[in-house]
Amino acid sequence: MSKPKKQQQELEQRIASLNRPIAPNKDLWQGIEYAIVNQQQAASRQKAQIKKASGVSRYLAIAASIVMFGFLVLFIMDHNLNQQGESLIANLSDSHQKQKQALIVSFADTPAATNNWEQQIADLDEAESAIKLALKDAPNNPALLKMLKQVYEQQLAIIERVHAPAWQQI
Amino acid sequence: MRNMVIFKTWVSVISMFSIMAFAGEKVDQTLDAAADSIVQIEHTAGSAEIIGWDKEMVSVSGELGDDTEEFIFKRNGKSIEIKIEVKQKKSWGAWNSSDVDGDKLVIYVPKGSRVEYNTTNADLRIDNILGSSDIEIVNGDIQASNLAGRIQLESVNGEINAKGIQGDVYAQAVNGDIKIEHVSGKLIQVGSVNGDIRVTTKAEDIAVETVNGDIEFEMAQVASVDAQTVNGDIDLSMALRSGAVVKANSVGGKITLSLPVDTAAKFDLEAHAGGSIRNTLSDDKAQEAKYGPREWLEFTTGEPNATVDVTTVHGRIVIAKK
Repeated sequence: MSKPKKQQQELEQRIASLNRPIAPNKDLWQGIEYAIVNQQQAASRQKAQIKKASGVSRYLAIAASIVMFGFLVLFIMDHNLNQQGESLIANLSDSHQKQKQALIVSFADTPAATNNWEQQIADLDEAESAIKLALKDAPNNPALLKMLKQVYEQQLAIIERVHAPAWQQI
Repeated sequence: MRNMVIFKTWVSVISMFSIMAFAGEKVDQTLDAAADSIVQIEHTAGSAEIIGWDKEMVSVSGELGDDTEEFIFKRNGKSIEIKIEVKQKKSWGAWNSSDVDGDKLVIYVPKGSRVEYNTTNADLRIDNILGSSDIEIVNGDIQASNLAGRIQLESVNGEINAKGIQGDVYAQAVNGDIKIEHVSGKLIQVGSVNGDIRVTTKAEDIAVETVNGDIEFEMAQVASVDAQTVNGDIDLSMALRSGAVVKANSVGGKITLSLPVDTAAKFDLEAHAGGSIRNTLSDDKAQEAKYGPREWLEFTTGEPNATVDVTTVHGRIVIAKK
């Protein structure tokens, strides 16, 4: 066989081989279909999730607003109550100091029946400070307010008792 | 004739001894009196014994003090007045001094009398008065026994020691201790500033307060208790009636409540600035605030039909089994 003829045959074989359709080793369509379907489903799921998520967020936002509003109202009320409590304590204290001083002045020329009454008043002043300190944390605590009132009453009672005008007349 | 009637009426209404007295003078006088007389006694210093007896007479005996100016002993209707005037009033500081020589009086009154006694510097012993007793002393001790009716005992700087007491009691001191055995009566109110208070009572309504003194109350079945102190300790032992209300508070003092194991009550305990709470009546334990020094404990025992509220600022609260 001449050389040109041999080359011709090789060329023809190659051409022949070129005509043969290129096919994958396995059927890829199933995978492609699965991928396409999956993508669509994922898209729908995503849409649904977005939709759902926006609904929940809305409710959460409303709930959060209500809670925030509640907290705000409570804070304002508590703040106002605390202010009222602090104001009550300040008024009570101020009124008592004036009353105490007036009483002491009224008995200035009267001898006292005990020589330690001022120490007793000082003890009660310390008690007043301790109660007021506790009231800073709980300005509306009724038990503490009652104790403060009692301390004030005790101070006035001591001043009156040790300077009792009835005993002056004996 | 008309003048004679007026004179007789006058004599029957007012009987009176009034003498200008001298230092150390003895007295021994008697007046007729109603069984339910009102006997008012007032002197400045010394000592007095007032004793109830079965006779319808008031008798005064003893010795008058150095500064006596006038001794008054008179009756007007049911009212009997015994008064010793002194030459000049001295300050309470002077009456406190030990060199004051006061009166030494022994006074018998009908046991159903109402006795009112006032002095600035005298010790008193009073016994067997069943009408009522109202005693006020500035400097001096009160020893009381077997009193009934309404009983009011006050001493600024003295001790009050009373036993066999029946009826409602009101006792006050500033610097003295108070000890009372209260046999019967619905109410007892006791207060002191620096003195300690020790009471056994069957009263159902109790109120007690001190500033620095300790409080110790042994009670029976109570309907209401209000106990308060600043720096003293409170120790209350009691059983609760149905519907009882118990309140106790302190600034720095320790409060101990001892109750029977079968107590049925709602408890509300609070310790504010560093105070503490201990409960052994039930298994409930105090809670501590996450932020700050506050502790509290709320619990119930049995089917609660009474309330117990205890508050302290920085003291200690103990609820224990009796």
